[in-house]
Amino acid sequence: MMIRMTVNGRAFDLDAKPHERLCDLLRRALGLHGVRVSCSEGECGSCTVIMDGEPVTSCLVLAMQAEGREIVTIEGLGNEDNLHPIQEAFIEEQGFQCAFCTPGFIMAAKAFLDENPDPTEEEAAMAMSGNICRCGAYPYIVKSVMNAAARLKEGGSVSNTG
Amino acid sequence: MIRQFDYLRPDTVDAAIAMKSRHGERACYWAGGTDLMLQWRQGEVTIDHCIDLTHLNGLDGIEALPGEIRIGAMATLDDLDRAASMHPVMKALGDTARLMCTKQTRTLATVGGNMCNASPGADLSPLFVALESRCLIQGPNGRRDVSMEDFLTGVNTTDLTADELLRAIVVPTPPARREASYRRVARTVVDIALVSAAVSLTADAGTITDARIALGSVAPVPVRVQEGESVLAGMALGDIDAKHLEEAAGHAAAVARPITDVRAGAGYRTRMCPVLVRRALADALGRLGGDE
Repeated sequence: MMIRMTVNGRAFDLDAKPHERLCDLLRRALGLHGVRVSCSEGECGSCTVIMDGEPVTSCLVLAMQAEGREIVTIEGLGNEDNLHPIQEAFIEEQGFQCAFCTPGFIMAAKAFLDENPDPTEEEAAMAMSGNICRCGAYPYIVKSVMNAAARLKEGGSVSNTG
Repeated sequence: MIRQFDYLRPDTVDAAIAMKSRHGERACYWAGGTDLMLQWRQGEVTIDHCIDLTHLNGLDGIEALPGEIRIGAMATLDDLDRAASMHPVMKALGDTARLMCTKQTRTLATVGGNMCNASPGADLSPLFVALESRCLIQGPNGRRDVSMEDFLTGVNTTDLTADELLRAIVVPTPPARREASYRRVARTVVDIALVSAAVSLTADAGTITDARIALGSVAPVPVRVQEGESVLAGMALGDIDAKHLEEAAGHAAAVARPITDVRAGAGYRTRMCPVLVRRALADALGRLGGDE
């Protein structure tokens, strides 16, 4: 079934299976492997993408439900030459170890900081509670979110589709 | 075997109901899908036809109407959180929504889906019961409404017939002041309730005119603590002290019928009922005593 959606700022017509999950469509049709699928049960947050400005676990969304929506994945945030301030913050604070969960954390952080640009550490920790880091980098992840908030406040915004 | 289904997208509620009537039991309404996706992938339910309600207009609003707030069945838990400041009765609902699952799932999961899934551990159901909520239902033969107490009939079962659809949940907003609270025991954030209690207290001219207490996770459906309610009903706000709250809460253990499972023992759940009721009553009473 052909459906149209905007992904990382570009409109695509994609051929989705009726029962296909959004995470699978993004990976299969567009090669967006930054959408990490880990638990497939909406528990771990690895597959978090932003849909119409809201963070969603893309393993729980039918691709068909996302028709007409605007999706942003980690690939739409920044790139190697022009990292997003949240990505820079995660690097500076070492907010990861193996980094499998990192795209999900960063997308959750993006949605959170858009809504609450000046959080307390406790709010940042609570906002990250929908993501699981098997390496246990949590203290560094919370620091990364706080660092990112400071960077974004300084106007360190880069050109991006998010 | 590859699991798959046909996908149907109704434009209107009438069209959705017609699709369900036509395809029968193996057709399924798909709301947020956060429970259904897992149940389907794990083979717990068989779906030949998925009737996606996501693109329907008009079922996802939360509206303040005279005497009631109408929560569209497709409103998400995150919408409920954001509507907390709309009215005092919405505060407890918003606070409760915020305890549920994770942010990135609350943006998908719908209030109606949560009720139709009818888990005994659902956080919102005891609170909806304490708030005297009603369910607006539409079927092939028209509309009807039923109290939330009667809507929930058992573990994962509701009063809905095969092709009926839950349109909205209506929470009354009486002219008198009403405050509610929900308390639960859970292991941590991102967990479901081991045991929970919801209360609502209504006061007019300094007197409690209505008290409702409901327990969650201790029976297939929410359980009212009517003897506890009658302790408080009719009392002057200024006369209620800790002893009365203790007495009202004390009736909770007698009506709880919990099970022992991997998450908690029946004994623990029973003993926590009065504790949670007392805390929830203290919350609601504190807000009633405060300024408007």
